[in-house]
Amino acid sequence: MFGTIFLAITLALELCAVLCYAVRSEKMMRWGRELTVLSFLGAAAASVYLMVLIFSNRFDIAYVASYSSAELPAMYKFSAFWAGQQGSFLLWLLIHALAGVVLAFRQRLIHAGLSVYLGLQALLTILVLAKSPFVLQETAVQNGAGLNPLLQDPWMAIHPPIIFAGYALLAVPLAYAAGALLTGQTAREWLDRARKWALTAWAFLGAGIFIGGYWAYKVLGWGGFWGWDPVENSSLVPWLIAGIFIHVLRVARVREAALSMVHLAAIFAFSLVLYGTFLTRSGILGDFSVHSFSGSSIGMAIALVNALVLLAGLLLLIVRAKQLPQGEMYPSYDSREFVVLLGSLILMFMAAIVFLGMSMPLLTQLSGNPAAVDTSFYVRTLMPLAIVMMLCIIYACLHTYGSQQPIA
Amino acid sequence: MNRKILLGVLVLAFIGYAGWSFMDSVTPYVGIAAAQKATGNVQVKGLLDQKAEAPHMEGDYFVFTLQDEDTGESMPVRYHGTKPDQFDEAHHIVAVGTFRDGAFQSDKLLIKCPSKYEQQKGK
Repeated sequence: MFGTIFLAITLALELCAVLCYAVRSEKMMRWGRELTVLSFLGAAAASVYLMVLIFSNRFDIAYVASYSSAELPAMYKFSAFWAGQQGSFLLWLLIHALAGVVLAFRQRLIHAGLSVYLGLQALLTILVLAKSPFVLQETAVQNGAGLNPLLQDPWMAIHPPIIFAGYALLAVPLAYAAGALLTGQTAREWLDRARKWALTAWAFLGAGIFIGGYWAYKVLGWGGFWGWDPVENSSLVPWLIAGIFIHVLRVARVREAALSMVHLAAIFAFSLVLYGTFLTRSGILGDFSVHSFSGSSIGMAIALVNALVLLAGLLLLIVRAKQLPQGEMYPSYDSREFVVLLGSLILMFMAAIVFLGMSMPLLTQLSGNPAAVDTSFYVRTLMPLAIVMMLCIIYACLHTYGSQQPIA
Repeated sequence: MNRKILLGVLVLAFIGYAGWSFMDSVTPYVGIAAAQKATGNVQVKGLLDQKAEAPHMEGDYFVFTLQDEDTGESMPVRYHGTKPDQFDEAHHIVAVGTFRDGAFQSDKLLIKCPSKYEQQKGK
């Protein structure tokens, strides 16, 4: 009960903050900051409350009954917080809100960008509310089901938070990019800040993917470090796109014409985080993955949020495309700009291939003949790309950026 | 200009290759009746048939009988490998392979565990 109230208050605070930031005045900006902090405190209160419920063995709460039990060791009670879908969304929201506080006070993210960021936070809060961890158990139980023995592993304590930190932080580059598009801010004012956040998000997501691979190898016995399972792929694709973002951003610092690609990468990176969440949480892949997912009603909600973010982002970019700097993106074929862009193109192909493969069950289900691709597809198509990529890396090291002074 | 054309040709060639590879590796998801007629690789989902001969090893093969949940049809499966770890607790079994010589020759099994544990890595 308290948990739902905390979340509802959080949502209200976030919506007010969106409005405050949308008004362009110093006073409202200050209000917005206060509200951002309060919304973080709301999310934190809900999280602490869930933790208290787990540790006090409140098995009248469905989430606690499903993932914890009286005899579970303390460390795994702690990680039971994110063992299920509901709790992991709350963790995502918490990290997102924490980053929001840092953004509002330390980072000089423009008001429109903050407005977008708090809007995304409100959407996340709605998802947590839609699939709340605070729902009561229908029939009384004496003890909880306990945590899946496979999840009772020290890696469980760190892998999901690191992955979700990566997911949450990828919203920051999007907020910077959208803020710049909305206000006509020049690249100098935001590129470098967005780069640091993107690098952090990229590092977290990458570390999470590596840890997940090691965990799968060591404990779960899925056959190797990487099984091209939809759940693995759904975090790999945003990571590849975030890699494009970081690289084209570097090019855009010397060649402003690449800015439109920076915007595109920011929009797609976060949209694909949502898309991956949709695929893995909607139950659609139940028959195709070694994970079994309970089919859930939240799939549609995530799909709507995903469509909203992607379409709004693309629409904004199209409307503002004329104002963005035009011109040559690279001076010649033997410049570093060209090689880095070529490498980004390869990353895009890789992301597209993995995207196609992991979406196959969804696409074919719509046509009535469900099918999946064999994992040999990924290996056969990605291997040549990886070789070209390595050549690009070597080539890029031997060349310098054009003689222009960095603009940001 | 020539390099642009060269790059374009390379990209198109790769897209063609990826498309061919994609079509080649599609494994449709079918019922048992369709699996017995299919010529290429397919995926079949079912339960372990409790009434049939108990699962056992035959040389390098692990042999069991898969039953369609809805229609009740069943077919023998010859899995190239040893008995998977969680086979006994399996809720559903998905076998990937082709029907040949009176049995479903499979080189990959997906074992789905009971729903008591929502088995996911918190992603």
